[in-house]
Amino acid sequence: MSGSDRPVKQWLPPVCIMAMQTASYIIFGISGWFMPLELFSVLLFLANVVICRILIKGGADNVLGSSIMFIIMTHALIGQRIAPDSLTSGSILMVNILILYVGFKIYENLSKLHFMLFVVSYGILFAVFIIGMENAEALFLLALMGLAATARDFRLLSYYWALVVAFTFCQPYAWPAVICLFFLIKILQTASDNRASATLLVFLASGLLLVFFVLLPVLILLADENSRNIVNMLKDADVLNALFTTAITATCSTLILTVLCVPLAYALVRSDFFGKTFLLSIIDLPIIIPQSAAGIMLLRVFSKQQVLGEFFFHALGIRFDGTLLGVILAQIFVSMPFILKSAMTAFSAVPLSVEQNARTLGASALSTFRRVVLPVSARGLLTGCILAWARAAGEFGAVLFIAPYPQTAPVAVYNRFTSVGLVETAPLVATLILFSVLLFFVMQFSINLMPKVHTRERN
Amino acid sequence: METWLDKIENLLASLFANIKLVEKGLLGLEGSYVELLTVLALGMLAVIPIFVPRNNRQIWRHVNQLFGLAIFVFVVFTCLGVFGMIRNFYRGLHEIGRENIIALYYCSVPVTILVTSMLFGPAFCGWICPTGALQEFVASLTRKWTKVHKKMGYSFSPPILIFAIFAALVFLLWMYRLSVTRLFFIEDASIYWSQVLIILLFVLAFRMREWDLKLRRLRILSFLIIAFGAVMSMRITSPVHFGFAKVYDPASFLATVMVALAALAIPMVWCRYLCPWRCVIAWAGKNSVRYIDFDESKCISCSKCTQVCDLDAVVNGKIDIHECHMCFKCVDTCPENCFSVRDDWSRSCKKS
Repeated sequence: MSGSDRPVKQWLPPVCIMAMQTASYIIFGISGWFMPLELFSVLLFLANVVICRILIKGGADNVLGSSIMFIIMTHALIGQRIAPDSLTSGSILMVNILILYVGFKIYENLSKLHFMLFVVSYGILFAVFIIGMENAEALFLLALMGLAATARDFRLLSYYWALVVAFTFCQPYAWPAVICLFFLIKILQTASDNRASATLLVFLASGLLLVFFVLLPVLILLADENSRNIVNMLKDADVLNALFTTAITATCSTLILTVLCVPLAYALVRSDFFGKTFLLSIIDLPIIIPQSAAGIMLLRVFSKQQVLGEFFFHALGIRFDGTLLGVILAQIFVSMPFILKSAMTAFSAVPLSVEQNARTLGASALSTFRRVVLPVSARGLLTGCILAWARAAGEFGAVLFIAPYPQTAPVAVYNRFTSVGLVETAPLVATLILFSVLLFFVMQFSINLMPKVHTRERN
Repeated sequence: METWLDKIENLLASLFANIKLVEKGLLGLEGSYVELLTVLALGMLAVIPIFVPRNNRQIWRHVNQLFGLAIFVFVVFTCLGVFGMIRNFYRGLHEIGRENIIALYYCSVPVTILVTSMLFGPAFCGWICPTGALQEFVASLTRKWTKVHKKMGYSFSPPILIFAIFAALVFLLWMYRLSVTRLFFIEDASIYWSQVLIILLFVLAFRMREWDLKLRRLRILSFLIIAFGAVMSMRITSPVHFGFAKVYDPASFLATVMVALAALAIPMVWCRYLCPWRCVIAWAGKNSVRYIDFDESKCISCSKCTQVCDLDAVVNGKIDIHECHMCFKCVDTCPENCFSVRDDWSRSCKKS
């Protein structure tokens, strides 16, 4: 910039560099330190001659041009000493020129903050790859090119750093890390676009970091597993049986729960009676009791030799320990609070006036429940069912005690782990996770198919 | 329980009996630094569009393309090609931290192209890419016909149909000849791409005007296929890949011939509808520093830019940034100099 102000001295820097290069070529050539007539050196010399000509004519920015000339000269002199051969030296030269060009343009066109970030990023990259790691010069080159492309924009720069961090420090699990980090950055950026305050952003960032930290194993397990292993897993009869058992029992227990608990929830919401508060708090008991304790409790009561179990066995001929019924029983026990609680929330959101309107228009109490309350609270109910289903399918502790066989999927995982070990279990776990995630998405999607209440009300 | 899964697997196996999975990425020649040369060369080729004189720009561009072809013919021995780049990028990212040099080999070309595209616009497509160069050189033979049909708006066009039938015939005969002697590996996946190309030609012969923009979304699909292939460690080769490895690869050569034949009927047909790498470059180009600015006040609506563009990316000055190859043809033909090439460093990235 300063060069163009004083056109008289415009020719000075390039010509100086040219002179220096010529002199050093001659001196070092004579002393035998390097060979000035090698193809690469000659090419670099010619390149400098061309740039020098352009600069003297005033065809390009003088400062930038002179700096590029200087870099080319240094590379000509010491390039082959720091790089294994001239091609490597050449590509390093390319990258250096690129960085210089970008840095110059950022300094010229953008704010000081951009330039500071650019310089700091370069420094960190240098510290990490050249000083901190061995044999990472190749990575340094790659990283520098990325920096050159992204330094001009904070958004791009943050994505770039996420990539660098993921692929250098989280290497075996780079892809899950990339997904998490990109998602985090995207969330923060869109939040700040929507004018979230700094406090909110900090809350978001710190909380989400924990969330991702907890969710990372899921991604890692999925990313680690070869699809072939998963297919092989699915061909294992034991695994398939366990999956089917899980699906059938969870569905059964959810059905039973829905049939019995949804009306109960309605009754609890709409009626008042002695000890209601106590009953409401007792509902939470299955959540509070440890699962293994719950399992032993159920075993104590329902197994063949015990009080209730004996009665059932002799009177009706059914037994709970070691049968599907036992599995369903355990699942019902643990997932009852979930469906009950969400059903109650859903029902209490239904305005009483709507029901009263229906009644005054002549509907019976049952048909009001069936045709008004149920559709209005369908979303909440379905959410409750899904939660209960997921809880039932994932139940391990209680099921293990009362019915270790027929195996459900969680029990199968445990059995496999104790018999063959961690490495062999991982594909099974990945399969399960895959299935659960898929199911979860399908179910969440199905919630959206339910009628939306509030918009209809306003209309 | 086992039977239905087995059935599906057997069915798949019978469908793709001639495909085998390959575990490794393509390796460079032992100890060669050829990938570094590409960094050097690609970098220089990407910089050239800035410096070339305006008045002979298109000639310089063709020279640049020739250099690009030469470099790629040389480099194809290691690992290039449109698909190879995506796959090797994935490989290279995995090698970071284990074998840094190998990672550099694999990543250098895609990274160079991405970086130059983000700084200097998608000039790679218009100035360097050998597939693009091949198509453009071939298409110049039939420019007279294609120009007329473009003016007509590509209604049902007998020449395209004839070319399509011709291409299909060539393809079938060649395949017949090959199938006598050769087992096909997934290496030869470019055959599938040439099939797609031929079907596409027939579709285009009848419905180009209506479906042109919709069909361009096929690029996303092909990118997904390649990415999936990379993750599943399948090799998928592309056109302009025929010098590949030590083995003479007839499938890739066939695909190259198909692309060339198709380009006779529709210029840049590969880039328009199928190139997977184009998605990525379009994204980079959308965020790039350099762009072509259009001054509407000077425009006299002569629609010369619309005619000259091989990709139908310009309509009376409005440039579709997803399609633009930065070949500067519109800039050079505009009689009123409406277009100007600009660098805007503070250009904010488009929110997706």
